[in-house]
Amino acid sequence: MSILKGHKVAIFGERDDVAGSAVRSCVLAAGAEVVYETTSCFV
Amino acid sequence: MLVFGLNEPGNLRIMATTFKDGDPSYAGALGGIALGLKSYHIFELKDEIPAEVWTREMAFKELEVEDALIEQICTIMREIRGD
Amino acid sequence: MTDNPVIRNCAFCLVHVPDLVRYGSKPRRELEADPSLADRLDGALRSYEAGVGYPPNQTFIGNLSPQQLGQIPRPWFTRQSIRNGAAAAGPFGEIIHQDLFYAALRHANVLQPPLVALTTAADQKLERLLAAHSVFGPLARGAVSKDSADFQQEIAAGKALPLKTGGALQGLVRGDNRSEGAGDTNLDAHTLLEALTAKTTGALALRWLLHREGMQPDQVDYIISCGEEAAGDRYQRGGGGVAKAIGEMCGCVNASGMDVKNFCAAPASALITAGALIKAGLYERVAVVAGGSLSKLGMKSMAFLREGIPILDDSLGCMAFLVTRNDGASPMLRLDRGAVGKANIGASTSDQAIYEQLILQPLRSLGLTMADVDRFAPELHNPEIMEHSGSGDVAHKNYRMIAATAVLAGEIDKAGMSAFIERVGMTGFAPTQGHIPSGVPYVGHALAGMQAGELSRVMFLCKASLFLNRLTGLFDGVSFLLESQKRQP
Repeated sequence: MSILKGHKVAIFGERDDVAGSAVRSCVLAAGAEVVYETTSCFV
Repeated sequence: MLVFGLNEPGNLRIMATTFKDGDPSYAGALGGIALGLKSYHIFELKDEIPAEVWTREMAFKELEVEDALIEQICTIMREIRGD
Repeated sequence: MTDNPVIRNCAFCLVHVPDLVRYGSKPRRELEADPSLADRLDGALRSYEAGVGYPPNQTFIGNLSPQQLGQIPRPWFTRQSIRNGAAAAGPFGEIIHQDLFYAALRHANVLQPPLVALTTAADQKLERLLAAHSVFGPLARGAVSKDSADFQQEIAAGKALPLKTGGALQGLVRGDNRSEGAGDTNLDAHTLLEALTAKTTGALALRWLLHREGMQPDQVDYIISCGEEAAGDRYQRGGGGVAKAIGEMCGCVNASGMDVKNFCAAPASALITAGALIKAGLYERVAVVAGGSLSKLGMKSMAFLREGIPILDDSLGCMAFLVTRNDGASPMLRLDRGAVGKANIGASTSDQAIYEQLILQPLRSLGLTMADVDRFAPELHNPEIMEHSGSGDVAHKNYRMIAATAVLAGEIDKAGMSAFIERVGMTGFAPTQGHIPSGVPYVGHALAGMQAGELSRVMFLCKASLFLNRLTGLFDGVSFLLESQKRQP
């Protein structure tokens, strides 16, 4: 049973860890739908 | 469901717990409100992602982040999900 | 190669302003939500002596090298005492007292009625202080003879913000309450204080640069400002003019200027642009300046309060650089074709693609490898501030990215990453002030190291979170190489 395929995902990224854009590319490729995305940067 | 790209164990704990059981400090909008949402970290989802996409987006990150930290992150997320 | 410009000099100052922490964005919002927080916040502020003695601050002004800082056991914030012999001034600049800042802030005002006003007593005392200062004296223009109005009334009516020292009122900062400014949120007291602070601190850094170089203000040809504040009214919110304002305040009568905007990577972009203007033969002495960000004061204050430690992000950083034609001696900015690292819009946002463009391509274009670089200077945030606030050691994370790039390039293997970081890396030491900690705080140390024959080549790596403008999802990266002219070509 796929964890991601067909699921709605909210993404919380971090600039110096893994950016939201990278996570988005990954989960979209796995068949998930992205409903929220943010990358924090507090420097 | 949530997918995180943040690597600080403390922050991961708070966020994953909040989305599942409600804000652990009982402050804020989600104090006492359990949404019951599962959280994953992107490092845990390697098997779900097509290999070429993973290589392009995450292979560098796997090198960058210390192995011990990746393990710690995966352990915390599993723990909170209760897997 | 010989027509490459040089970084001839630089200056770095920290303006210690504990009584402005309440006007930082985070503290301000927290105080609005819970005014009772004020006492706890005040109780956690550091004295000037503590700020001076703080080892990362000493590193910022050049009294300690980053290597020496790395040898000092943490916590650093317990090691703060002027009794330890820490001097307020260092080779690169000084840690500036709040009193001096207030005096200079008043001189940053150009409007009538003034945006900044001090009580008569404060005005006379602070003006004397400013006039007597060996570096900032030229900024003094005499105490204002007007009677101070009833400041408390203006403050109570919400038309002005108090400038305090401890509990004592020194003066206030107004919004532009004239008819053309009233009702314009871009010209309210908070926003104008942010802009005035950027101007004032930029001017203080430029004064230090001129002092250090032994140069007159009228010898500056051109000024580029690279701070992140917006300045302008409702119709031109981010119009700019900060460089010229700073130059005017410092008496740079023969200079024109402009502002370069690139979030945290702006200092790198500005230095490269300054160098390019010189290489093109347009100017001979370009000053690149950056004031500090008031908005970022106390950004981590809630975390510090929770942990029961002093508020460490209580200082504004500011810096200035002098870029000139090749003088045959100073470290050279490599502006050969292809030698500057960038992040094309079309590049994938994956780190791998970005770091290839940022680090490997410029080195390859010069026939170099990462092994030919003595030091990399990425974001150099003070790890004590970053770790207590849950961001982790940002400098170290960036070094991991640089080391991963070396693995990618086949120069080292995964097991060699730590040793590589040991060789090329350093401990962070700069305050959380956006564009300030972004690579360039190492310029002073790099110039000194090259002068002493200890370093040949340093790569400065600056990243910018462009996505914060909500107009793009892009990151930016800018890198440049500084090379000693004492080395063999």
